[in-house]
This record gives sequence, C-alpha cells and structure tokens, in this order.
Amino acid sequence: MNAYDPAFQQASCFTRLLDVRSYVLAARAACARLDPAPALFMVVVFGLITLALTPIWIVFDLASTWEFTTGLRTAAAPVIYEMSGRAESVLDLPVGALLTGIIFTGFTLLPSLFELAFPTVRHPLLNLVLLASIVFDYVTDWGKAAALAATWTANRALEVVYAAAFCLFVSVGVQAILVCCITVIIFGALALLRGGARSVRAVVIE
Amino acid sequence: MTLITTDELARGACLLVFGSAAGMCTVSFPGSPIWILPAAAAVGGCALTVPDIRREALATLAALPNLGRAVGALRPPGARRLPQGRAAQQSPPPAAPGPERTPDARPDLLAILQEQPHRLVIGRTRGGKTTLLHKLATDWAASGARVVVCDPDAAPGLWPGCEAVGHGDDLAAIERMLHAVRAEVQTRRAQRAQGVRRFAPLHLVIDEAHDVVPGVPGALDLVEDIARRGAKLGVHLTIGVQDRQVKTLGLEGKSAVLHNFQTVEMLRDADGRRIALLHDPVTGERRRMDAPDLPDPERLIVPPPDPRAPPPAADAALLAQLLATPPPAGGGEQATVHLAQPGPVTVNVTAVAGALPGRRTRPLAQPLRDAYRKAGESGESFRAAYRRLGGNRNEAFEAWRQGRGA
Repeated sequence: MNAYDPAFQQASCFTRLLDVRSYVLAARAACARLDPAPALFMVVVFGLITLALTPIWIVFDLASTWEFTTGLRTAAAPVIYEMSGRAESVLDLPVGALLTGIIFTGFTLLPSLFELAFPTVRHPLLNLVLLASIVFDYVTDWGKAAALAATWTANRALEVVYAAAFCLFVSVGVQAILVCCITVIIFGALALLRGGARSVRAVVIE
Repeated sequence: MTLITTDELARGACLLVFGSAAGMCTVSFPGSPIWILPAAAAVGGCALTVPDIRREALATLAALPNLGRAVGALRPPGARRLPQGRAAQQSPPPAAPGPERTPDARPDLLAILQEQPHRLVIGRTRGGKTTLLHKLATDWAASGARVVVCDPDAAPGLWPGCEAVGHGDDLAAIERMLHAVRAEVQTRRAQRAQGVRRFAPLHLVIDEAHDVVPGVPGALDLVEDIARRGAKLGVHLTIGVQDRQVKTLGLEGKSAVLHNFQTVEMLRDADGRRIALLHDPVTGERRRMDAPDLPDPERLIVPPPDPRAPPPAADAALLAQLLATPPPAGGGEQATVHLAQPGPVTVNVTAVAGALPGRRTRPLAQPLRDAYRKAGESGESFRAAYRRLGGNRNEAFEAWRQGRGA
C-alpha cells in the first residue's frame, strides 16, 4: 500500500502502523537525494540499530525457529532413516529432512517478504499463507521468549503476558524494524556513493 | 480515520490467545504435536477476520447439508449464494423475494460508488445498468440532493424525486437541461472564486450516454468539464453507457477523462446472475462483485389514463347531476349543471355521456326529431321508422306520435 492507494486511505491507523512496505518506500524516498553527510549519519545510526537488533532477531527468531524445526526433524528421525534405508537409491531423505528444516526456518522471513512483495495483491490464499507464517513464527519463537520472560517475574500470569508481548515483538516487530533499517542503510550507502561521485566530478570540472 | 477495526482487533486476539497456547504446548509437551491444534485455531481465527476468506468459508459451510441451516442464518447479506440448482437442493426455500428483484445482494458496490465523485456504469442492454443508475439517483434525491436525469428512455414516474428530461428521445429538452446545468456550474465557479467552498450536491445522471452525449450540442464539453473540475463545485456526474470505447462517448484523444470516473461494468455470469466488475482507478484491476439486489425501476412507470375507464367519484357525482338535468331546449351538445362548488358548470353532454355504459343521455337531434315527425304524418309505422332512423327510442316515439297527431 502507498499513500495514493485508495485502500491505504481507508485503512485504519493500526493497519498503517504495521504496513512495512510504506515504511520501506518512505525510507527509500527519503534517502534517494540525501547529501553525503546526512547519508553517512543515517547509515551509522541505522547501522547501530541494526547491530543491536540483529542478535535479538537471530537468537529469538531465527535460531529458535531453527531449533524448533530441528526438534521436529529429530522426532521424525527414526522413521526417516528407516525409510531412507529402504529407498536409498531413490530418495536421499536425510538431505530432504534438512531441506525441510531450512524451508520451515524460511517461514520466519515469510511475513516480511509477503508484505514487501505482495502488498497490493489481496488474494484470500495469500492472506492465508501470510497468517499461517505469522502464527508459525510466533509459535516457534515462544520457547525462548517464555524462558526469558520467566526471569522477569515470578507471577505465572504476568509471565504469560510478558512472554506473549515479547514473543510478538521478536517474531513480528524486530523483523519489520530490521527491514526498515536495512533499507535505510542500503539507500543511504547508495546516496553516499553518489554524493562522493558528484563531488569528484565537481572537483574535476573546477 | 478508524483507530483499529473490529477485524484487526479479533485478528490480534486470535494470534495472542491461540498462538500463546500453541507456544505453551511446545514448552509443556516437547515433542508432542498437540501444539498444532491451537496453532490451527490461531490461523483459522485470523483467517476468518479477513472478509474475503470469511465470505468464502461461510458460503462453503452453508453448502454442507447439516450446517446449511445453522450458518444460513449467520450469513451476512453480501455472502455469495450457491447456484440456484444447488441452493434449492441443499438449503431451505428462501423467503419469497419481490417479483422484480435480481438474485444476489452485495451492499459494498453501492457504498463504493457513493463515495466516488463521478461514476461510469457500463452495461449492455438488460445488464442492470439503468437499475443501478436509478438506485443511485433516487437515493440522492431522497437525501435532498438535486438530481438531474437525462434519459432518452425516461417515462412518467420512472425517476421519482429527480428532474428527468428526454422522454421519447427529446434531445432538445436534454439540451435545455444541460444548458441550465452549465449555467449552474458557472455560477458555482464564480461563487468559488469569491471564497465559497461548500456547495449543495448536484448530481447529473446521463443514461444511454452513447446517444445523448454525441447527439446533444455542448454535452461533451459539459461532461468533460464536470469530470475534470466538477467535484470541487459539488457537481457530480454519473454516466450509463453500453461500452467503454472513447469513441462511443466522443472522447477520442481524451481518454484520460475516463480516469476521473469510478467505472463499474454490469454483466451476467455463466449462471445468468448479475455481477459487477469494479475497475480500480489506480491499478486498473477488475474486482468482481455480486450485483446489488435492486428493484426493477420499470415498475414505477405510471401508465397513461385509460379513456374507457370508469370516471372518478367526483366526475360520477357530476354526471349523476347531469343526468337529472333536462337537455337543452334547442337540442344542442351542451348543458349547464348547477353544482354547490364551484357553481354553474357548462359541460359537453356528448363527451361525458359516453362514459356511462348502458345509458344514453344524448338528446335527439332536431333533424332526426323532424324526420320522426314526418314519418308519423306520412303514416309510417314507428317500428319501420325506428329501424330506419335509430336514435333515442323514447324521444323518437314522442316525435313520431306528435307527427301522427295522436
């Protein structure tokens, strides 16, 4: 969605708040004609934010999803190895199981990818896939988020509330913020390079 | 702007409640697939908060024999209906609709069209184009807006509350009306130049525009002017046409004007149901929607009065008094009736007498009376004279008897 999209005009504040693509477009537009100095400032500031958030994303989102899918693979390992023994020449099932884990882990990236790639496509099936990936990501991230939340309070009910909020943050919020930050870094770096090139041309002309 | 919609709130609640339950299952029962159940509930709950998915799901559930009745009552008015054959087999018979209603309902289309400043309704004959225009125009008129309708197929009573012109291909009347609208536009433009920013809505509706716009001098310029700049003046345009070719409307080289319209195509699908294709003005994407469930405007047309119909009560009283009035002495066609209100009235006896079946009140004409008198004098029998001359039997006999001298 963008500001000229009628659907965006009619969207609620909440929808606009979660519309990652509009942030990305705004960041791209803002960085497109930056002078070198502000571009450098933006790259440094958003780079620091990215550095701070990347470990959180890796530990609580990517790694936890990987561990969750590893648990699934481990649970299914006896069956997989038995089947691979029977059909070794036909299918390399252990590799297939590994690929399955990677694909499942890729689900953690799907919400942002869908929001970036299919913002104007409002097809029920795509909506369903997007929601499924958000829920899957949320479920896989719960373990580590709940473990951390348990250290914050001894109250069981509060622990669940904290875990839910933190899990939502690490599974959806961190990703969205990272996408925006990386966008700013990329386009800021490009502006920096273009500005440097302009300065060089100016010097040559003079 | 809405802070958050109910659907979004429900989506967040589903994700937090069922997603947290699924997460807790993964921690409490490691290695167990029990987490899939709350996760599926989270996905399903979230999915049902998406209107398109919800409609599809409810339509599918309604098709199941056991759940059809329960869900049928829950189904929103805009839900897609089953084909008529399946619906008849699998769901209870619906309440009898109006005799002139289209089968499907979808209020979204009207709401979307109402929001836009200008609308272009495309549809082949009997596609539902005029029905949709009629609904929009009469709604605007009912809300107090001034609605001008140019319809070469207009008929008495067809456009209640609207200023309809063009009855019977009267393009001259349409031209006069468009001239008045143009004057109104210019007046408003002058007022805007003085600082006026709010104007009472004026809706110009042109049906069968493929005939009206090219056929009326100045219509094309007015259409283009209103489409481009009319919204600021509170002047809105709604056009009904049979195709979207710019040549049809005489807009060759000006196709950009059509971008100012919210375009909707009225069609029939393979099942014969009326559907609407809504064109997105930005992306050009066509969105299929069910056609609104609208009454046929043709039912509003007032038929011409039947000359052989019995007279109204007031005329009946007048005629009753007329019958009691003696015919004019000279045997003429007129009589004077004395009424309490408005007083003495001169009526044409011949004209009003025909309205009373079985009663002949026309006095015998003087030549005929003379003919009967001569027949009596000559000794001709009354039966033979009456067979030959006809007329009021009693008066004829009276004249014949006078001639006979009896």
